Amino acid sequence: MKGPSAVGGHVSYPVLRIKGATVLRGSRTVMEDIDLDVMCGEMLCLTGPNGSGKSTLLETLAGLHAPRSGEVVVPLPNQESIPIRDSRGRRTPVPGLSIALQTDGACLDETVLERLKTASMVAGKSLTDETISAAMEKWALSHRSEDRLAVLSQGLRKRVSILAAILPAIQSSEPRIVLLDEPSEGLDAASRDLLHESIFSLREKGHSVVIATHDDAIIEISDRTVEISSSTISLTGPNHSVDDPPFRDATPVGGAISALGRWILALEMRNPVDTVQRIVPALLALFLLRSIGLDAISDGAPSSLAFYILAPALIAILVRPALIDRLKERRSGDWWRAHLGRSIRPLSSIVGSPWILPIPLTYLSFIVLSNGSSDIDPSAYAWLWLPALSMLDIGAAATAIHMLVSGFERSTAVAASLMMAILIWPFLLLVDATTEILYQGMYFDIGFDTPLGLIICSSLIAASVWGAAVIIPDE
Amino acid sequence: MVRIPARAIALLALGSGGLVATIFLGIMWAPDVNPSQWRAPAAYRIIFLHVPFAWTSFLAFGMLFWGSLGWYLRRTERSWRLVQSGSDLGLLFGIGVITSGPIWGMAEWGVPWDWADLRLNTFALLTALALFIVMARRSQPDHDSTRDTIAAVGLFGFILVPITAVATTLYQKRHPGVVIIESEDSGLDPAIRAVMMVGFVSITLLFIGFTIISDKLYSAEAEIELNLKALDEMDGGE
Repeated sequence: MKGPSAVGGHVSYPVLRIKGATVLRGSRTVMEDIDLDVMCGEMLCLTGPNGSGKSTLLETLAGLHAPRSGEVVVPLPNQESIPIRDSRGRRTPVPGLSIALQTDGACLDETVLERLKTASMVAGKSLTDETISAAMEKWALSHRSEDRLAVLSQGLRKRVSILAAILPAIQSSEPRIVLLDEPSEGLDAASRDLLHESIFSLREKGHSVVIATHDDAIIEISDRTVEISSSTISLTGPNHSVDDPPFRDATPVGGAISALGRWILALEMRNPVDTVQRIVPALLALFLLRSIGLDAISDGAPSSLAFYILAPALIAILVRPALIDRLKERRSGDWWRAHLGRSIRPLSSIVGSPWILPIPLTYLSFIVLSNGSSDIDPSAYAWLWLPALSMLDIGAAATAIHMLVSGFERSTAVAASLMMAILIWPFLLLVDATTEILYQGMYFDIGFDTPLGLIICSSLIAASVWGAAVIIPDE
Repeated sequence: MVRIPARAIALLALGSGGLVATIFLGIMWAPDVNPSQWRAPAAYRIIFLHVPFAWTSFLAFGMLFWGSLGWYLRRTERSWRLVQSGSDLGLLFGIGVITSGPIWGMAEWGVPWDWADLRLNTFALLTALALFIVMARRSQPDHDSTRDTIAAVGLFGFILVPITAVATTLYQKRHPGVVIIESEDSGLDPAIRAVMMVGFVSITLLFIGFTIISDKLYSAEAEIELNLKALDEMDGGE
């Protein structure tokens, strides 16, 4: 069903458009053949009973759901458009987007200040500490700036979530699109008043605000209302003329990429659960190997020692990364997906890999297991870092496979390890490279028999597996 | 009530009979091989099952890949049934390959596995993938998003086949693998060839019969699920 497409008596242009979209959640058709324009500078409310599809419609606008048919686009001049999400797998982040999901969309290990800075960086805004402090002061969050979201009440977390969405828009001179899902839920009366005031201010500044809500006070001040029921929508609001949209570039994601990297690092430094759950099995394996006797290891084939030296590092890099759980927590992964689109999987699989572990684990294993063997080249010690470094490629591939598997609704009910078998070959090539280094020393010729050649081949194979796991679109 | 097509039953009966005949002929009729060229000459008879298993699992994995591609591009129920049948049969016949292979390998080579052998390792990888898909289908709710992820895994598995080919080739350059003696240059005995053909035909008939039954069962399951969903809505829905 098509609806009116202009705002409050003024000429405006569409900043976001849903065309003929049918969206399923699970097996249920939530929206069927929907057409909707979001106009520049308008406040659009999505209303309807619980379970009617308000959140689904909002998240579809953000590109979080692939429509079964139809598409979501940013209209451009001359009938052109930027495809945000369609049924053919095309995907682009919405330019100028800020979003507050119903479930915060933040990992609970983030601090309040961190959350606001991250949201600003993702939006491409480098806000000063003073600006952020002033905003926190206004929203009565200053006293909690260094606290983790985990220790805050639901209402406080909601305030943080809303502020993270509206702050970049408040500070921006260019029109942005702000999507808020049930922002009033869990807020006290004073916070709700502040929310209404902020939303009104956003509209006055020319930003588009789409809100899924039951709050009558917000619905009353909206320009148009979309009532959702039985998979269709009906619009109420004034009907005016529409201008051609201006040209817009697709969103540059450099700021968001940088923000993601910092986010991952900050969370791991605050709560190193990923590092711990990788190190523990690796060290256990090392101690078990030590306990079976160094003679048994050294009496084996020359490649045995290299295998055992690299095995603890392999165990460490195959462990399921904690990043996956962090991205699932409170749907923080969906928040990142709304801003990064399909880039999130390749980026996360690289940044979420265990960068610091393979080299120290390899050297520790060498010290513990080599037993000062006289057959080992004296210079081998100086070059073990090279095959250990190549283990990072295997680690990235393993992380990418874990992320592919985590796309399942019940990802804990599937055995990701079955997909890891392919990583045996790059590992075996590294074992051969390490064997050469241990007994022949390091040399820099490139060929299938040389350490450098084997390491390059291993890295290329691991990179190919990584590529295969990240090119497939996610939800 | 779901009726199993008569032709499927006939194919299963023929295939089963042929399989029994293959085993019998392989043990009792196929000639011995030259003991000076084989470490375990009697163990070669596993070939009459091992190679046909490999052929049919190759067909099944091809079905899985085709279905995954079809679902990924067009999202048709027919494609999804190919994924379901392909993964089930790929697992069944793949297990046949990777169990018969190591039994023969242990007897003939003294080691159960050869990391430099392309075929054995490719089948192991694809069988692991089929197991993953079968387990995932049984543990996950049947939604479009689940099917999308499973189809993605199916496609991922097939991208891995050329990667495995490169990897095992590189590894083989370093560690020349123990080659399964199937070369035409060695001149396959006509009797051995005949028994192998019986095995091929039998297992292919079994494969076709299983495919027809599998398709029928999954169609029936889909129809039942649609009816159940209709009843859900009459009772108040989700």
